[in-house]
Amino acid sequence: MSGAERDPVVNRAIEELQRLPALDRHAIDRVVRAAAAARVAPAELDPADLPRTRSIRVWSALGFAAAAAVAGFVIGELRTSKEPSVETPIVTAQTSSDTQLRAVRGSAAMLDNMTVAQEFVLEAAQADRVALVGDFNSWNPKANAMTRDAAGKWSTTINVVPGRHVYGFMVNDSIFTLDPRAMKARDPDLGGDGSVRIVGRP
Amino acid sequence: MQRIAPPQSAVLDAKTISRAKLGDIDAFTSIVEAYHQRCLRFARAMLRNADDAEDMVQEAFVRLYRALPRYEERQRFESWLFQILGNVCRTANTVHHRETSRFVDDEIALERVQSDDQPGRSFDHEWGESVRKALAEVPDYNREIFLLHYIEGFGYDEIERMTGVKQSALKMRVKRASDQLRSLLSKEVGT
Amino acid sequence: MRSCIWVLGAMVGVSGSAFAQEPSFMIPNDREASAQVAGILASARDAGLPTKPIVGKVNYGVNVTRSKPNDIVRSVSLVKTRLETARAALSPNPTEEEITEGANALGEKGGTVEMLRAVRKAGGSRSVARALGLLTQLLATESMKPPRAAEIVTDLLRREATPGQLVALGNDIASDMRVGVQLGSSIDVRLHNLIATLAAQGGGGFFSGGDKVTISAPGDIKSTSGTPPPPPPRRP
Repeated sequence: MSGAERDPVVNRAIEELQRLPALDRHAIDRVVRAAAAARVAPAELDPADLPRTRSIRVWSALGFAAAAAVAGFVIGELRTSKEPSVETPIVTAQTSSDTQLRAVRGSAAMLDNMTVAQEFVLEAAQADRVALVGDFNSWNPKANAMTRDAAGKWSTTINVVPGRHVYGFMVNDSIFTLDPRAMKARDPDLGGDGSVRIVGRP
Repeated sequence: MQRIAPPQSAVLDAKTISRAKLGDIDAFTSIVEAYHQRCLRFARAMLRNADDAEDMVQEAFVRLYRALPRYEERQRFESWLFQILGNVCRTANTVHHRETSRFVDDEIALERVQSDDQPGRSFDHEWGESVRKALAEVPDYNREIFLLHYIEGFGYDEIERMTGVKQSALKMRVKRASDQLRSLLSKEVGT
Repeated sequence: MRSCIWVLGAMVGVSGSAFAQEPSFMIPNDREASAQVAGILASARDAGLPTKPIVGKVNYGVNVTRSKPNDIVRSVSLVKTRLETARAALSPNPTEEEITEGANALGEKGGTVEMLRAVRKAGGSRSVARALGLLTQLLATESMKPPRAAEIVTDLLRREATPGQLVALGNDIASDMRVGVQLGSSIDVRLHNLIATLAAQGGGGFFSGGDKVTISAPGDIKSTSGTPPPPPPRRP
């Protein structure tokens, strides 16, 4: 909308807001000094400000080169039976007309699905047994028994894939308990609640 | 009559940005000089507590400086800077959960005192106060887009790229901000 | 007793390793329901679908919600259907985790096949498992409109957000909401922060202008490269 089409009151407000403050040399000096002081080694940069690393781009380039060089070559799957939720990376290079380059996906899957150690804790001094159950262990109460400390705090540490996980605790083999510190999620099929944890990168 | 601050112009070329990327502090200083006033103007209007504007502008430039080595010029430099500044201001507004404050900007008042006397200057001062108070009533998400479009001159397509918000939603936000300002300010001008 | 042993044996035989590794997988006191679940599990395995979500649903129904056997069978059937649907929508060659996460998204209110297809398309050949996890998280959030959830995820994929960045975004939003921040406010801040990061990485889709920019007061903004920005509104 042009100025002529806008309301005159709004136009006047815009004019007012368009006023620039005076150039403040002292403030500019402070900014520059702060920036110079904050210029740290890359490893200490805030991850939120970091761009994608060059290594993955190099890998992508190599992946494309490999796909072009090799005909109908399938590397296949890796499976780690110990890890409950490790993604299966599939690295496939094909040269059919609808070639799907999976090298990039496979490498990204491997890089981004490395498991993260997560501690789960429940304060339950009166309990005799507590087990951690969740999507990472197929809700199997026999999979991850927790250990108790002197103060009645039960805990266990397991490796999980980054991402969203729903879980809870089985107390004395019969009572399902949510994590009081976690958000809830409702099961879409059976209607019960579970606790949610979003697991980040290592 | 309205007195508008004298136009500032500086040429910021690819070489300056390239040198700044390599850590040339003088080049970075040129960048700060070129944009500081606009950033301060935006931050003062955007923040719930305008007193924090200088700190937030400094924070934005520091973040820009840290990320500069990775800047690949696929984005217009100016929009990248205002993107960072917008994020900083939004975080400040959200995280601190402050009440929307009545806008009192001593620095702007001081500038007006220091400027040449003009007929109707006291009226200008009151009008300025009214505008800022009215703007402070506009919800953050509408205010931001209003400022980016009407004050900083970014087009809707660019703001869409900066914010991820669709153009139709952006236009609605600007319209709502405009309507609200008109409603609040019409009383001031007796319309 | 013999028939019970036979059923148990059949279950072990039919479902093989799943039963051998999951001794808690049985619906107590209901042979018929147990056999039905065994059949669904075997069918899923034969079809090459991930079986862990099915096993998990049975255990969840038996141990957590103590649901009726018929409800457990029904839910297991739903899970298998969602897994099949997700695999088709995420083709070609989705990974097990993508299928599982895709099925989770379909299980949430508002989750659709079209969304999964859109995520696949936006992600290209990259893994979209984490993107689907974020989609599920957003769909499960009460105040989130499903189309907006899908839009956020697909847009981030097009901007080349990494799986780690998507997980971190979900984590930040969850943390914000835990301390009482409204979803809209959290998304406003977190999403835009991420978009700024992605833009700096070069994934924002911005044109490569910036060779020479003249900075000036509003009303006189010029750029000599790329698409010039529209001039700010002129004074009346």
